[in-house]
Order: sequence, then C-alpha cells, then structure tokens
Amino acid sequence: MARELEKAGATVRIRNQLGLHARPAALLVERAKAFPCEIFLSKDSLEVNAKSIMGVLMLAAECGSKVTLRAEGDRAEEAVEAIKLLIKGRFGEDE
Amino acid sequence: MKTNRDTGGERGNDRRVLTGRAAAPGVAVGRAVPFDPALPNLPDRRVPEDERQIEIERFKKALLTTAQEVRAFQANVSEQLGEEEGRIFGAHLAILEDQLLIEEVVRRIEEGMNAPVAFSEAMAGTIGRLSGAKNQYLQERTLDLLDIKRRVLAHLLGWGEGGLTGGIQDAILVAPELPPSVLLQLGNEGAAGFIIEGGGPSSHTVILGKALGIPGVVGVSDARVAIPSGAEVVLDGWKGQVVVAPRDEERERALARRAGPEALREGLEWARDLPNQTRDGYQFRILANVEVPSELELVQLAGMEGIGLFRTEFLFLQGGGFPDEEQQIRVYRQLFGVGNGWVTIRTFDLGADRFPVSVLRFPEPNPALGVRGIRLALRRPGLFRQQVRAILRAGAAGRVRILLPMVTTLEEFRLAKGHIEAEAMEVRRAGYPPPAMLHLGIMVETPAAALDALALAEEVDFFALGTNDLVQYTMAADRDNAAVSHLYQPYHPVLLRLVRQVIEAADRQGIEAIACGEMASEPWGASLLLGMGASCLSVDPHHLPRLKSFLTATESRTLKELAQAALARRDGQEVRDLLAESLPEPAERMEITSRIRS
Repeated sequence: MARELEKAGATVRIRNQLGLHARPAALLVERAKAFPCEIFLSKDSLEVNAKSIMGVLMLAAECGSKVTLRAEGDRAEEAVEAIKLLIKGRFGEDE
Repeated sequence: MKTNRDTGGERGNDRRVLTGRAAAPGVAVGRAVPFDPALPNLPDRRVPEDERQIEIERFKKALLTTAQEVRAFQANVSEQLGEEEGRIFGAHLAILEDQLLIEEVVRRIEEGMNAPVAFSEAMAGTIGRLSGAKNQYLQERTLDLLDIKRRVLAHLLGWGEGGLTGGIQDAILVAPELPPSVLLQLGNEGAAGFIIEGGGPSSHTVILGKALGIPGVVGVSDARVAIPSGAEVVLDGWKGQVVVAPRDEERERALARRAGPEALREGLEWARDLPNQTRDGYQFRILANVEVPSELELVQLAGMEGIGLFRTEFLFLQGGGFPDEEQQIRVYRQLFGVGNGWVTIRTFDLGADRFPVSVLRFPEPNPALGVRGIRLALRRPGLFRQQVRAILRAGAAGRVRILLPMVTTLEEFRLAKGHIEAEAMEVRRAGYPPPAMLHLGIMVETPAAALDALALAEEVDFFALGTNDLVQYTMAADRDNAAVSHLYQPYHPVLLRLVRQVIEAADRQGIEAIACGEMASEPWGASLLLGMGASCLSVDPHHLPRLKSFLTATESRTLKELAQAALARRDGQEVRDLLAESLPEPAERMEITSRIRS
C-alpha cells in the first residue's frame, strides 16, 4: 500500500518594503532547506523551487505581491507554516 | 566673441561639468580610470565526451575559488564596517552554493557545452527576470548576480581584473556598471571615487561606497565618452556632480573639502555658536532641509531651529509598494524628536516618471508638465489623505507644517486644504492627540504661483520658495540637459524679480517665506535673498558652517543695496560679476576649521 504524500499550501503577501531581495531570499532558502519535503514558491504563473536562491530571486517578488507556498512530503505542513511565519514577520526587517 | 555660458557659474575650456545623482557622499580629486566589467567573448568550443568530467571539475573548482574570495571579502567588510555590510556578500555565497544552479550547469556540460557557456546560460534566466523587474530595488540586484557571474567566468577563463590601465591609487573609476566586490578590492588599493553610468541609489556598490567612505556619483550616462582616461576629475558625491579638468581654485576647494566627517561635526558645532544675525543685527533663521532621518543627528548637532523641508519621496521610491500609515508614522515621528521647532513636511512630490507603474497607469507625453506633486495627490486622494493622517498622528503635540508641492492655482490649494481639514477632524474623532499647531503652506515653484503670490498669501499659512524648479520652469530649461543647462540662471534679474515678488507678498500678508532651494544654501544666493527681505532659509545641514560664517560677516544695509543693484542689471552674467565685485569670496570649510583651532 503506498502511503499518501503529505501536502500543504498557503498564500502569503510579501510585506518587506524592498520585496524578496537577496537577504530575505537567502533566509527563505535556508529555512526551506531544513525540511525534507519538496517546497515550491510561485507568483503569478511562475513556480520555483524554494530551496534554490536563484529560483527565489527569479520570482522578483516585490512588496505587496502575493506568493503561494506548496509543499509535498514529510513535514510538509510544518515547512509551510515555518516559511509563512518568516514571510509574515518581514524576515526581521523593520519598517 | 565672448561665449556667455552661464551655467550657474561655470565657464569652461576643456573643462566640463557632468551631473548625475549623488550616491556616496564626500569629495574626491583624482585621475579618471576607466573600468570595464564586460567579459571577453565566450568560447564556442564543444567539449568532447571524454573531457566532460574534467570540465565539470573545472567548473566546481571555479565556484569554490570564487566562494573563497567572496568569503574573504565578507570577512574583510564585516571587520572594517560591520555585519550588515558583510551580509551583502552572504547572498552571493548562497548563490555559489545553490544546488539547483550547479545541477543546471552540470547537465549542460554533460550535453557538451563548455563550462563558461553552460554557467552563463544557467544564470541567464534569473538575471533576465530580475533586470526586468518593475521594482528598481530588485532590478539593482541584477548587479549582484552579474558580479558573481564575472568572477566565476574570470576564473574559468583565466582572465585578470577589469582590464585596468594604470595604477589605482587616487583613481576615480569610470564604469558603465561597477560590481560591489570590485569597488571593495580597488578601494583597498587606494581608489578615491567612482562614477557610474547606470546604477541606482540602492545598489550594493553604492551602499559599500558610503560605508567605506568612497565618494561616488551614479547616473552619468555619458561618463565614458565625456571623461577621457587619465583626465583630472573633481567628484562631488554630495551634489552628484563631476568636474573634468577642474580649474585651479576648484581643485584647491575640493582638496580642502575632502576633510572628512570630523571636520563637518566640528564645523557644525562651531556654526551653532554663531549668532543668527548679520553684523549690523539683521536677524535671520536657518532651518534644516532633511531627506532621510539619519541626517537628524546633524540637525541637532548644529542646533538648527527647526525643519524647513522634509522631503518624503524616498519613502515611496524605496521599494515596490507604498508604505502604510504606521510605517510613515514611524519615520515622521523621528522628525519631532529633534527640539520643539516647527517641522515642515512636504507631501509626496512625485510625478509619472518617478512613480511605480502600478499606481499610475497612463503614460504621459511630457511628465515634467504633467501629473506631479499636488496634481497627483488630488487624483489619488486616498494616498494623499493617508499621508496627511500619518503626518497629523506623528505630529501629536508638535508644531506641524504641511507643505504642498507644485501648486499652480488657489483652487488646488483649497481642494487640498479641504482634504486636510477633513482628515484632521477624523484624527480627532478617532481619539488621537492632535498637533499643538498646524499650518498649511505651499511650495512656490511654478511661475503661476509666484506671479499670484499675493492672492495665495492671503489664504496659505506660509510659503516655501523652491528656487530650483522656479528657475527651470521660468527659463523653460532643464538643468540636466547639457544643451540648455546654461539657461539655468538663478541669478538672472528676471528670477530675482519673481523671487522678490514672492517675498514681498508674504511680507504684506504677514506670513513666513522659507527659501529652500540651492540658492538659499549658497552664500551669494542667500545674500541676495536676505537683501530682498527674506529672513528664513532652509538648507542641508552641511552647508551651515560656510553659510553662517559668510552671513554673520555681512551688513544688511550692504545686502539691500546689493539686491537693488542686482535687480537693475540686464542679465545673469552681470549679476554674477556684481556679486564677485561686492562680496568677499565665501570661506572654505578648512579655513573655518583652522579658525577654530587658532
């Protein structure tokens, strides 16, 4: 019997004034890499691997844009929650 | 035939003045050294099957070497400057360790591409997306990716650094773009400044320049053409100006100004203790022009009486979206923490050309004469009122002056006032403590407003004289357009007449006129303004020592006569000649500092 793959997802708005630039992108990738599941980030019609900084940068997500998280595999829900929290917390940037 | 090129004081031979955007503050004097970040052509050789594994190893080694270099930079920068600046290279490292990127490259090499081409292609997608980003900040991040790409390719191709000609000591780098790691490296070798053709104010290169104390100017679009290799250059990172082949006195002045921030602080403390009056007792007030909160420290140090102009555009241009009310309040509140003088906040003075596309959807044939300043505010009352609300809340118990930009007619003012009064009522109703005092004023920077000053003065609480734009609109010339910048003549009698009209109208109605353009911060301009009856100037703090030292040595009677004589002259050059004859040469900061010591 095949075990069903754990799935989770969420949509979050980027609230950093400067968008998903190099520093938050690096933080997001680091956070994502800690989880065994596959994690994807998408904006409009572009979906990228959240564990690749090149991918995340490619989204060019500016302040106010909506991004969708999608995770598949072990601890998928946990992963989505963790990244969601990171984004909502503006990656620790003030103002 | 005498060439009459009155570009605000510039008459030249081979000497040229280029204007860009002030990026990293400071003054530099040096030789122009062109830097070309472009890479030589990539080889188009295909890799035979038995060599592909080696090629992959070569690529990985290049990544490793680059990562080592970047780590060294990071440590270097963190040590010299701090964690925050070091983090600039953190993302570079993450990119070099990106597994998916590496896989992309390896895959291509396995298909027969050589490493340089494979790597280039793998980076291309992301670079392309970023450089097309609507948000300027994200666009500037492209430079980071290009920096890495250059380094890795340089290792793969066995290529040296930047194709530099000549030594680096005292070099002023001239480049189309300048990767941050290159500035760091060359800065360590003694580079004195940088001039970049492209580039924006928040690129990592500029951030590093500021942190390292290397002055720079960006946005000088024809730099490589206009600045010959080896030419002597004076670079003013405060003003965003470059002088090629400077005159002797310009070089001397620049060398004197090169004295660093300690001299500025000394100067400000010294200036603070000077009286605010001319030698014969004519009192004046000098308020502060502030652009970013970090300048408030200088304002306080200098004991300036209040903030005559706080420009709010940077809040709206730093990133993709508009800052919300709370974010704005946090910034404005800092202004009220400096003494208890008036704080004059100018509502956003933005136009279609500087605006994020998402807000203004229509293109304009002529943005300079289009929807900007108060016109934009009235078209977007939601945003305008949000800013007003933030200002009112931040200014609780303080003395608030709201300044409206680009006003042309009385009707515009009345409409804006309606919005502001409605917001003030709502703020009170919501239970927030109101400002102790609230004044509404306008920038007088359009000829229409200047000519109608008397009627406007009856209804507004104060004027702010925006001489820079007033000159441009009146002379119908763009000062950044080299072909017509000679028409930018703030000392032309026509402008003086207009300015006097505004000052007199304000005086007649008993309201304050704050002179806040460049004219106010220059000793000669300030002299004329005082001579025409102005008594309130607003300047960038670092102009204060020179300005005050000059004004306190003048007599108001002389200034009045001077102004009258200037108004009777026929053109800008005659006025400048008059000023040169009648007024002493403005003192330099170094002289001021030596006066302190002696």
